[in-house]
Amino acid sequence: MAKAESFSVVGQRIQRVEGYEKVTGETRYIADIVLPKMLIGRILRSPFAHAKILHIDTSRAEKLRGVRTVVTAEDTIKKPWGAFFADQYPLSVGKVRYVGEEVAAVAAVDRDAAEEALDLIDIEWEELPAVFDAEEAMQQGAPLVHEDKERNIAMTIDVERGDIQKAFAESDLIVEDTFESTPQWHCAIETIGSVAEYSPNGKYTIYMNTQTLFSARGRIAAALGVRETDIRIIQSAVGGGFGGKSCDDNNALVAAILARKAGRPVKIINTREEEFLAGSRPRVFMKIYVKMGFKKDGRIRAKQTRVIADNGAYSAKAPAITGVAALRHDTCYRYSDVKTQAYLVYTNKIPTGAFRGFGNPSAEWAVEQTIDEAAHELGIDPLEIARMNAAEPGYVSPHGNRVISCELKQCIDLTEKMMDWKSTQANKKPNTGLGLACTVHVSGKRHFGDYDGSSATIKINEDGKALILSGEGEAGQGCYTTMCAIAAEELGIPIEDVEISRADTDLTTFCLGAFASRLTYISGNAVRDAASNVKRQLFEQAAEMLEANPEDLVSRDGRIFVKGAEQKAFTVADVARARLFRNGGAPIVASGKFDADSVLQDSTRYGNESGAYNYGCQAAEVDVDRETGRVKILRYVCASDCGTVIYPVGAEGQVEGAVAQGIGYALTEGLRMEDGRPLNPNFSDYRIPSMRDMPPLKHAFADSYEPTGPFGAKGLGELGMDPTAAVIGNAIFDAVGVRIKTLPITPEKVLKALKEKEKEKKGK
Amino acid sequence: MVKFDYVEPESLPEACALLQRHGEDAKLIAGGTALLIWLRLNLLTPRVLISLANIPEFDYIRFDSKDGLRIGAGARHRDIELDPAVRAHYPLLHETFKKVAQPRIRNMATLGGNLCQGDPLTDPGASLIALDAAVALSGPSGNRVLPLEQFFIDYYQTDLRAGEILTEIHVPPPVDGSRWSHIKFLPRSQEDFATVGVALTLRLKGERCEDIRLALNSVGPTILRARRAEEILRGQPVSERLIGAMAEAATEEVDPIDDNRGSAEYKREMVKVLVRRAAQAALQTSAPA
Amino acid sequence: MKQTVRLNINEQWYQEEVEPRLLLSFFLREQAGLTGTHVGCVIGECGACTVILDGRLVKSCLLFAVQADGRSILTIEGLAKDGKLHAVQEAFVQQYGLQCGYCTPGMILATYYLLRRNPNPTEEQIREALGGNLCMCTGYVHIIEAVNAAAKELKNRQD
Repeated sequence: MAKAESFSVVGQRIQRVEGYEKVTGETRYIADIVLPKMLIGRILRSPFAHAKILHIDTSRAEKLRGVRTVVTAEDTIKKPWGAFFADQYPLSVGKVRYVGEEVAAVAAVDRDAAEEALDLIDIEWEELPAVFDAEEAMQQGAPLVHEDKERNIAMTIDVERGDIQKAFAESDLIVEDTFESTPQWHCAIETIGSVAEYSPNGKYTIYMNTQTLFSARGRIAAALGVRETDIRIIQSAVGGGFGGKSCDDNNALVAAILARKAGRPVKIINTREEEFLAGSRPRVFMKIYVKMGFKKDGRIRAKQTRVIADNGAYSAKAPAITGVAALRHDTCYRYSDVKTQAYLVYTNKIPTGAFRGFGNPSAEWAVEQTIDEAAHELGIDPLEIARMNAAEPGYVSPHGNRVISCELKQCIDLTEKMMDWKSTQANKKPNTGLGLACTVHVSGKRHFGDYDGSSATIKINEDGKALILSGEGEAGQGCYTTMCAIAAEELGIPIEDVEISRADTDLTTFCLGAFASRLTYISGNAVRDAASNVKRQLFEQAAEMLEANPEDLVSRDGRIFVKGAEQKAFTVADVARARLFRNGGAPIVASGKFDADSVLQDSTRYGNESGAYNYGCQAAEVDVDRETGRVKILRYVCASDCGTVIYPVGAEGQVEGAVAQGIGYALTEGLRMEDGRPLNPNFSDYRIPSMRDMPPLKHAFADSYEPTGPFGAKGLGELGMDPTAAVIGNAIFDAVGVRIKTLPITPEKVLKALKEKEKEKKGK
Repeated sequence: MVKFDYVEPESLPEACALLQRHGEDAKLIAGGTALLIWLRLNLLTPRVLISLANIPEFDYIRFDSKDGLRIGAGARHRDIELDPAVRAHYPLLHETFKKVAQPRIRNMATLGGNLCQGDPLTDPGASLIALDAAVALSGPSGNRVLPLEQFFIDYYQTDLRAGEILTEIHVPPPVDGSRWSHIKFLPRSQEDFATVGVALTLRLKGERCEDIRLALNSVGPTILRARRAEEILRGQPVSERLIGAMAEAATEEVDPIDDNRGSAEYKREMVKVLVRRAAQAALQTSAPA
Repeated sequence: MKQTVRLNINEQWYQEEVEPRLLLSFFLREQAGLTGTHVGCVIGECGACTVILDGRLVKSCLLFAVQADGRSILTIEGLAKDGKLHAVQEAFVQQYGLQCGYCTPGMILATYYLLRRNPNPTEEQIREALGGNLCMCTGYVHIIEAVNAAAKELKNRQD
C-alpha cells in the first residue's frame, strides 16, 4: 500500500547531478588520469587454457628501450585472494588455468614500448590436459583445475524445504525440462583500468574505476599482504559497471605491483580484448534442470531444480551467484515445497562473476519458461498463472525471505494493460506471439560477513550547501543523484544545494559499494540518517536564534522556521555561519548509518537475505520469420515495483538499460570458444544491442511504498534484466510453438526447432 | 602495431613508383577503416604506408547515359550513396551503400579500398557484380580493365598484381526495364556484417527472363556470382517453381563457413530462402525509366 | 620516423612530432589533452571516439593522426560556446540522454552532425544515424528523446 507523503524533491523531475560535466567531455575517467612520471603497464597473458610455467626469462624485455620494470609472480607474496574463496593470484604461480590469465607484466614509458616488451618475455610451458565442460569436470578422473578441489567442485548446495516427494505426488501436472544459459559480458563502454602509485612510506594510492571501493581495498590489501589502511583507493568516474567493475580481476593489483617495483606511478587500461578475456568477469554459465508440480487450476505445488554452474578457473562471486540461481526465485511466487541441488564447478575457462541480475537471469530463463510450459499444458493464460501464484506482502519464502512491500500483482496488472494483453492475444497475427515473465530481486544482500549496511557523512558549508561524503559506488547508474535527492528532501533544501564527493577510502567511511541493487535502499537510508543527524545540529542552532524548541522547527526550501510561522526564518547558511563563527564554534557535520534488517543465511542457506524485495513483470510481442528463424521484438513492456520512485528519469533509465542488456542476453550475445580460447572477444563479433536493434519500450512503476526504505524506496537496478530472456523465450513459443532451451536464441536454433517440429507433425 | 613510415604521394605515377620501390614492405592506405584494424591486430606489418589521399582526380563520381557510371577508387561510400545520379540511375547501388556499416564508416571508407581488401563479408561488391561492373587497374606494366567478378580470388585476395593500383570502377549504363533487389540479411544486429547478402538484377521480356545476374556475399571465400543458378532462369518464363529451383541451385555455388553469424549449413539454407525472396522482390520493383 | 602533424582542433592549431602509427584518438587525448574523446574498442565499433573531421563524422580510432594533417577537427570540447552549452548538449542533460557518460561525447557529436544535415529526423533516421554509437547503460530510449528535444530546440532558435 502506498503511503501518502508529499515530497518537494523526491519523485520530482530532478536532473542528473553530473550532467553538465558529462556532456562537455570534462568528466575524468580512469584513462584520463595522468600523474607525473607515470608509466604505462601491459600484461602478458597465458596463451594456454591449462599449462605449467617451467621458466620465465624477462631479460630481453628488460633491456628494451623505454622499459622500466618487468614483474612476475616472483615479485609478489604468492598469496591467493578472492571475494569468497581465495583461489586466484595477481600473477600466475606455477601454472595457468585459463587463456588470458596474467603471467607477467611490464611498465614502460609509453604504450608502444610496453606492448613490444611483451613479445620479449620468454616462457617455457608444459601444456596440461584441460577441461572445458562443467559436467565433464565433475567426472572422476577429469583434469583438476585446482589440485585440492576434488572433482573440480568448488561448492555444493543441497536444500529441501517441506516435503518434495509428497508435493509432487499431490500435483496434477508435472513439467520437467533442462535449460542452458550463456556467459554474458558487461560490455561497459569503458574498460577496467587503474593508476597505481607507491610511496616509500609503504602506502599505495590507487585510482580505480571500481564500483566497490572498500571491497577492492580489502582484497588488494590481502593479495599484497598489507593492512587496509596501507591502500588508498580513489574512485575515478566510472564508465559503466553492471557488476563487472567489482574488483574480482587483477588489473589494479598488477598496476600496484609494477608501481612498487618501478618506484613510479603505473597506469593499466584494459584493451577491449583483455576486458573479454580477463577483465569484467562474465555471467556464470549454467545448466539448469527444472521439475515443477502444478495443481489443475494452475497453482504451483512443488519445485525442484538442479543447477550446474560453470565457475571458470577462479571463483570471484560465483558462489553467491549460484546460491541466488538455486534459491531466489522462491520469493517470486508463493512456494511451499522446494528442493534444489547446485554445484559450482571449476573449468579451464574465463573466470565468471557478478553481472547485473546475479543468478537471477539464468534461473528465471529456466523456471519462468517451465511455468509457461505448464500454463500451455493446463490451458491457462500465463498471465493468470502468474497472478494466482504471485507473492504478496507478508509472504515468507521457504528459505526465510520475509517480504514486506510487494506489488507483483499490480505489476502483472500494469503489464496486462500496457500490452493490451487480452485483445492482442485475441487478434494475433500468424507467427506473432506474446510472452511474459515475473521476477523478484533484493535491495541489498547480506553476504559479506554479517553486514549489509552503509554509512555517509554530511557537512553543511558556510554557504548553506550540503556536501555528502559517501564511499558507495557510483558507476554511472546515477546513485549520486538519488543520494543528493534524499539528502535534500530530508534537509529541506533544494537539490541544487547538495553536492556529493567521489568516493575515497581515506576520506569516506566504510561502504560495501554497488551490487545487489542496494544503493537506493541501503545507502539511501544511511544518507537520510546522516541528513537527519545533521539537521538536528542545524535545528539546535536555529532554535537558539529563533528562541524556540528544536522539535518545533521545520526546514523548507533552504529556510528554517517555527512551524506555522514561516515569515520569521533563517537560511541554512545563516544558521551554519552562526554555529561556526563564534567562540567555541563547531562545524555542522554528522554521519549516518543503516544496516538492513536481514539475516545472514545459515549453513542450510536459510535466512532473510535482504531488507526489502523488488518485483517486476515484463512482456513482449514477437514476430518469428518461419523461413529464417529470425525473431523480431515488436513491442516490449515492463512494470516494476521499486517502492517510491526517488529519481524518476534515473529509474526509467535503469529499467530501459537493463531490458536492453536482457535482450542482448536473449538474442545476440554469446562468445564462441574453442578449447577455452574466445573466438570473438570484440564488439564486431560479440553483438550488444545498438539503437537500431531496440524495440519500442514502455514501462510503468507500481504504486508502492516500502516502509523500511528511504521515503518508501527500494532497489531497482537489476530487476529489469532478470526475466527478459524468459519473456522472449515464452513469446517465441506462443508465436510458433517451439521452445528454445539454450541461450542465446539464435535464428538458427529457432529454425532448427521449427523443422524438428514439422518433422514430428509429419511423423504423427 | 608495427612502426612504419607514412608517405602521401601527389600523383598516381608517383604512388605506383613508391609501391614498386617498397614492394612487399608497402601497403596502400585510402580511407583506412579496414586497414587500421588489420594493422592493430598485427595481421599486416608494413614498413611504409602509401596514402592515396593526395592523388588528384581520384574520388570522382561521373555519370553519362551512354558511358554509364565511373567512380574514382578514392570515392567514399557515403558520397556514392548520396550521389544524385547514383540514386536516380542505380537505385541498387544507392540501396546497397546505404546499408554498408554506419554513416561515419561510409564517410571515410573508399570504394577502391573496400574492393582491394577482398573481404567477402562486405556489401558493395555483390551489387556491383550484379550490375556487371569492371575495375580499372594501373600498374608498372600499364593499365588493364577487369570484370569485377574476376577480381576476387580468395579470402582477402584479389587479382591486384605487384605495384598495381585500382583506379576506377566502371558500371555500364542502366538497361531499360532492368529490375533489381538487394537483401542484407542481419538476423542478429542491424550493425553487423551480412550473414548472407544477395544482389540481383533481372530483365523481363513479357513473362520471360531475358537476363539475370545474381551475386552473393558472406557465403564463400569471395563475393561471388551464382552463374549456374542464373542459367536456370535465363531465357525461361518466370515461375515460382523456377525461382525455387534457382534458389536451390545457388546453394550449390556457395561455400560458407561457420562463424559468429551462424553455421555453414544455416547460411546455405538462408541462401535458398533469400535468393528466392530477392527474385520475388525484384519482380515487384518497377523498371526504372 | 616521426612526422610533424599540424591539426586545427576546435579552432586552435596543435603541432606535434608523432609516430605515423599514432591513432587520431590518442593524438586528441594525449597530445592535445582533449580527453572528452573516449576510447572504448579501438576497432571502430563502439563510437565513443567519434569526432568531426572537415565536416564529416568519423571514428577517430580508425584514422592515423598523420592522415588528418592540416585538417580541422571538432571534438566535444569545442561544442559549447562562451560557456554556454550547445542545444544538443543541453538536451542530453535535460532529457537524461546519458548515464555513465562514457559514450555521451560520441552520441552528442553524432546528433550534432545528424541535425545539421537533417533538422527533422524521423525516429528511424535517428536510429540509423546513431546506430554506430553503442551505449550499455540507457537502452537508448532517453537518448532518442534527447535527439528529438534538441531538434525541436534548434528549430525554435531559428524561428
